[in-house]
Amino acid sequence: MLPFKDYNLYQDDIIEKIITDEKVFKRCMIGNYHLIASNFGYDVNLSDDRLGEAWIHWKDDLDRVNLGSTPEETVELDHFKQASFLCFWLRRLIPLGHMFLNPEPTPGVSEISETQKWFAMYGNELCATRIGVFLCHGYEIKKLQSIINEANENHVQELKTRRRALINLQPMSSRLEIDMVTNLKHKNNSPHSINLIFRALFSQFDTETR
Amino acid sequence: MSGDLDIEVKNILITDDAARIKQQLPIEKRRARYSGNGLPKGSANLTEEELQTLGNCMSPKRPGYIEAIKSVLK
Repeated sequence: MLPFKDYNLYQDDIIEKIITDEKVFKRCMIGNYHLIASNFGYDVNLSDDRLGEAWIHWKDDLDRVNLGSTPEETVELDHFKQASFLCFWLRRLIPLGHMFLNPEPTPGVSEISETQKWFAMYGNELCATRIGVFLCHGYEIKKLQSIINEANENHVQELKTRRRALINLQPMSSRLEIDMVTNLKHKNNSPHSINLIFRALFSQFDTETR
Repeated sequence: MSGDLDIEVKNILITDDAARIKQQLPIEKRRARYSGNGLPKGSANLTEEELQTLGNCMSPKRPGYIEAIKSVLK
């Protein structure tokens, strides 16, 4: 089992780390898929090839969208866009290969639960969604921290209160998460629409000028 | 005949509108508006306790989750 610090999506500069190194990306994704699956009583095997493909497509998309027709026009995408492209490719390429119940149900004694049945159907979309949401959450905290660092004294206390609320935030309610996951499985959602959903989750903490 | 003319006039208006909007919003601003301004820099300065809270967020025991799943599976 990987140490949590290797795949913690809230660590500083996690997007920068996983986008520059395929091996780091794969380790991080494997750790998180295992963590999420274990919440539902599953062990999982991931396809190394599909993870690699997801990484390449994610990186290609970011390079393509980042690129303006001149250097002045080229802007780096924000965390919402980068996380939504990743969510899109993880959902689309289905790296989740096999799932095993852990512990295995004993025939005649225990049986698979409703939540385990649901995860067997929607596990891939759930992992893609949660990874995207956690990345956005971590970078929103970072963004707020940088504002606190530069704020004048009169506003620091209020901003710190907001930071506490942001850390304690559960970004998606159970029902919203399940609806999003169901939607991702059965409908076509572009990275841009996923981006808007992610932004909406944190809009109450939006510090940009409206 | 007059129908064709109408279409032509509308096309000119649309083209003019697009040109005007493009002038008002340079491409860089339009891109930034929809793509953000890069990743936030610096550190989130998370304490061990805060990391713990966020770790729990990653393995949530969410109220209403089982009920919500059951309602979807019906």
